[in-house]
Amino acid sequence: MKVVLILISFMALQNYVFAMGVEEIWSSEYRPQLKLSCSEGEESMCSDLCPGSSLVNECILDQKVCRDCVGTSLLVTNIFEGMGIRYRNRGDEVSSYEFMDLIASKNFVTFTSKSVYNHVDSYDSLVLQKKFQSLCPMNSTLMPVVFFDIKPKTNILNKVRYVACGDKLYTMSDDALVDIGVELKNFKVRFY
Amino acid sequence: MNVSNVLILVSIVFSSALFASEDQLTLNDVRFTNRARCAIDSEKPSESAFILLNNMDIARAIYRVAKNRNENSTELTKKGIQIYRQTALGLLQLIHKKIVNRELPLLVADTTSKKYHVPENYREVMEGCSSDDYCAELDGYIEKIWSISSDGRSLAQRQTDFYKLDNFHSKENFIQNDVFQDDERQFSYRCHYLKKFSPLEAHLFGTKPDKSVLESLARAAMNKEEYIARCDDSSKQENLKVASYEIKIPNLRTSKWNDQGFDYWNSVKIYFSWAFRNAPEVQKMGAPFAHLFKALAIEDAILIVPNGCKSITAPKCEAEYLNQNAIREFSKSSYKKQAMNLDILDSVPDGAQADLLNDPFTAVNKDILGLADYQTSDAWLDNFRENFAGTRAIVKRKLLRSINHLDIVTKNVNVSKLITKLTEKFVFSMNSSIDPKVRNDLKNELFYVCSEYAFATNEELSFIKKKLNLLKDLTLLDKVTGKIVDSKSSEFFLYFEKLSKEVNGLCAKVNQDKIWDKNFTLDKSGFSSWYLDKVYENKIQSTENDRLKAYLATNSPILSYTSYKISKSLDDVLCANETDCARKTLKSIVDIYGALQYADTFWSLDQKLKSPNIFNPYAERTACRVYDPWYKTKQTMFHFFTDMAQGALATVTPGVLFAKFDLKPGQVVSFNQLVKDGKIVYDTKYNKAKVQASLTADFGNLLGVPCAVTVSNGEINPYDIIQFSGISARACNEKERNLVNVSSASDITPNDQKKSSQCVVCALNFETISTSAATLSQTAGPQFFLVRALVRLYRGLSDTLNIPRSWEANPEYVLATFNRFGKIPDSCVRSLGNGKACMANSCEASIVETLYRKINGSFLSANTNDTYRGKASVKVSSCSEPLSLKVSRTVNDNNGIQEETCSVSEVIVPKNCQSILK
Repeated sequence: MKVVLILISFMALQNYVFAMGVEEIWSSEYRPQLKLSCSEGEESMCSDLCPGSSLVNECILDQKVCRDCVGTSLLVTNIFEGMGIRYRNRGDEVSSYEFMDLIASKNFVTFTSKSVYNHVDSYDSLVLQKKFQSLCPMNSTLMPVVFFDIKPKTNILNKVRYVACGDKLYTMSDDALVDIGVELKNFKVRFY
Repeated sequence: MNVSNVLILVSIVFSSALFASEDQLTLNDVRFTNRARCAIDSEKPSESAFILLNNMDIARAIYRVAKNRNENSTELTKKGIQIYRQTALGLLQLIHKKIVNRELPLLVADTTSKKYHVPENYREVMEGCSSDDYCAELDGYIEKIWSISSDGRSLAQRQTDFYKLDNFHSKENFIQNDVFQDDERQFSYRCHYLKKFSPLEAHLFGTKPDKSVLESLARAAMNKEEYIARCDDSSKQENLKVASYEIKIPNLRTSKWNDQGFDYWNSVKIYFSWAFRNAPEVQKMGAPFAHLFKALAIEDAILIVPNGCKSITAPKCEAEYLNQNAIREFSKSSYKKQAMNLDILDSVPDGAQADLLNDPFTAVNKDILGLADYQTSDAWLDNFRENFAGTRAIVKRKLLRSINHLDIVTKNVNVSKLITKLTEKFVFSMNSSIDPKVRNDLKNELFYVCSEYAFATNEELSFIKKKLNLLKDLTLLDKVTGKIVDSKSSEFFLYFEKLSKEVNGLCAKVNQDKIWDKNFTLDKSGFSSWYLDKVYENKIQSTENDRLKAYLATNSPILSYTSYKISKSLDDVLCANETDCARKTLKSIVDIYGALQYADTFWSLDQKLKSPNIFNPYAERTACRVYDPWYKTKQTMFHFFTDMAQGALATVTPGVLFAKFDLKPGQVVSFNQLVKDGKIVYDTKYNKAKVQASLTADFGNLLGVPCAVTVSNGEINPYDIIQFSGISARACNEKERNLVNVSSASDITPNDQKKSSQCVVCALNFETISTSAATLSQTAGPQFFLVRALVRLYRGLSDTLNIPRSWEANPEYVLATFNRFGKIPDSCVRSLGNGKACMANSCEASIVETLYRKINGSFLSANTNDTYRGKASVKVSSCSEPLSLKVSRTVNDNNGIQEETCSVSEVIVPKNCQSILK
């Protein structure tokens, strides 16, 4: 009985685990888009996000653009310079439902090493590629896609949310991971 | 012979129903001003502006889109830039049209104004927005206004809707007809793309239109296509990085425009900022790149700069205004050479107000921005862009590094623990068993920490402590940090204050003589670069980084990014050791201060375009009263009246002492920075204009005479004359009252107690006499004063710089004169400088003025031999055949003086030239 229960739970859990291909593309009208590829058995996710689409295991969604992201603002500079250092993969996998919530809200933008918002380095430079690739386990993904949410209506760039590494999705954090020397350990500060 | 031109009705014969508009390349009047007039003009709204477009950001974005889509990046980028430029200019034109047509209300620039009606909701939104980062209320407010303006209803209905929305008054809150000459609204402004700066912008290069300037202007007008092009002609706009345009609102009535001009520009800047991202019209104009345009930080990509001395934003003596104008420095051709000496890149900047005290009488209207150093206006603008972007990048990196450092350190490094470790280091440094070199290095490290903290934070000693304290109250810092980290800036300051108190306390407590003993050698190069800059004026190069690298070669840092394990880069080290931690925290605070002093220069913090007054450094000088443009006039008149008064008295009292009264200008002594409502304001210490009286006896100058000079009867009144009343031997008496004591005749101060220590044997005594009982007489005395009065008045009012003067030249009139005579005759310089035509006779002048108003094209020549028969003909550049004119010419005898009047009643344009009609 115990074994059966575990099996059922495991199978139920499988339904929640993210397993889509994610790609940032640009339409012929020069609009940013998100292309989702649903694996066999997961087609319902694509059809839920793109109802009425003729494609069965693919969904292409228009993206918004974020306010003041085309420029050299402090935040966007900080993002590209700090990708992989201050903006890091926390290691927790994300469920499909959480992801679909974000996508369905339409309040998100994607960043990659080929991003149009990159004014810090040359287009898809090696340095940027390495920074983005370092987000994924074993640096195994060629083109990770980082998701930020944006504030509704104003489209102001907000918090980093996820990184898509192939068909896996992880939560991101903007809390830098640091190494603390033994001299300073065990004395984390509290606010005064 | 005086000739007066009479402008009367001109009826133009139309041979077709076609109504042609003004030639796109119609030239604008050129207004010359000297320094004083330029300063006064800064308080008036400009009629003309330069639009400086930076295309780099949008170009990079489109390039990347092309790469992502495997399209030809060169072609797509070029196309995108053209569409972007036309969208920006088209939107400006649309906003202008809507404002002039009363489809958009004016947004009042000064919401505290008692003179004009300020709609209540608008006032609340603007006041609420000033302390916020992004102001959603403002966007919502503008959206409502814009949707009323675009709903297609009648003007009357719209006016009602605006009234209902926020009580916009039809008179004060909309552009009035009488702002335009002849009450004729101008729905389009003139727009030129600038290829090269030329004599068409002569007012930026010189203060007065003399003969050579006018001849250059004429030649430039003749070849205007070399210098300007139509704004909608993309083929002429070769430089893809930048573009500069000149716009001018024609036919304004200056006196009325002065009332509404600032509100007009304020409205344009705010509407544009919203509309470029949100207006449906931009979706069409910007297709297919409109989605990308929405993401553009447009306020960083466009500057609207006044063309000349007048302003787009009313000048205010506030840090925000001065800092925005500081952008001027980047546009100078000499910027790169002088950059490191500029306050803006100083480690602890004083702020833009310091320049006003250092250079109160700076040059103006003498090509102060080095326009003539560049072949094309695009080259000048590109240099501007590069300097600005490069400097901003430096400041931005410093700011980001500092904020990120403080965020991590405050979360991970306990102050008490750090101080404990530092204390251990101090103790260790006194251990005689360690290697002397290692010990000396350690002592140097501790010396650096103690010195840098003492310099920055010591209550009595530090001059920068006060500056750093300002940071705490600036809401600006949260605006900036809030975008990057979650921590509030107040947390940074609390941490820093605790740390500095502990470090200073520790440094004061240790046995300094024992640590930094006679065997200690200080290596000054180990100080931080900001410290070396302030204390040693950068005469020593900092080796701080080299020392850290050497340390890290054999030690692990106590705080670093995890990436340091692989990169081994100093950039990934947050704290190499305890002293480095303390020093870097201080450096971060200093760097944040430096970056925020000029935040308004580098970042667009409001939802409106920026409009710095880059051509007029007197805008801020006048606003801050460092320069008084009326001072010289006041001083000249003051001398005149005192001279006349003395002239009147000279005969009454022959032994009178000639008082020389001078009006000393008021002086700004200092700008004390304070923080009010989260912004930097100035508490200006200002010495008022004062009268300086000096005494000169008719028997010679009293300077150097070894006698005390006393003046009785109390306060010196500038209109009093001082009369000599004898020499006496007197002892010093400290308690004497009602005496004005001096030690030399050129300086009078009342009741100066200190003078009692300078006892002298003799005293020259004077008394004041009233000027009220004055009558002129026939003796030599009064004539001397009268002559002196007139000479001084003439000289004073001839001051070319400081008595306000302006001239206005119409390039078409200047060209007409040049075409007529082959040069500019000396006799025409004055009329042309006053904006009038100057030709061989009054009929030619009248023809030129009429053609300017009614025809596109330049005057080439005229035949006025038959004007007595009511006929004339004229050749213009825009028609191959001559135009016929009907004129009436009369000569009147006015008390023996022949006055000729001539007027044009009809212009007959050949059929094939109808398009030249305006």
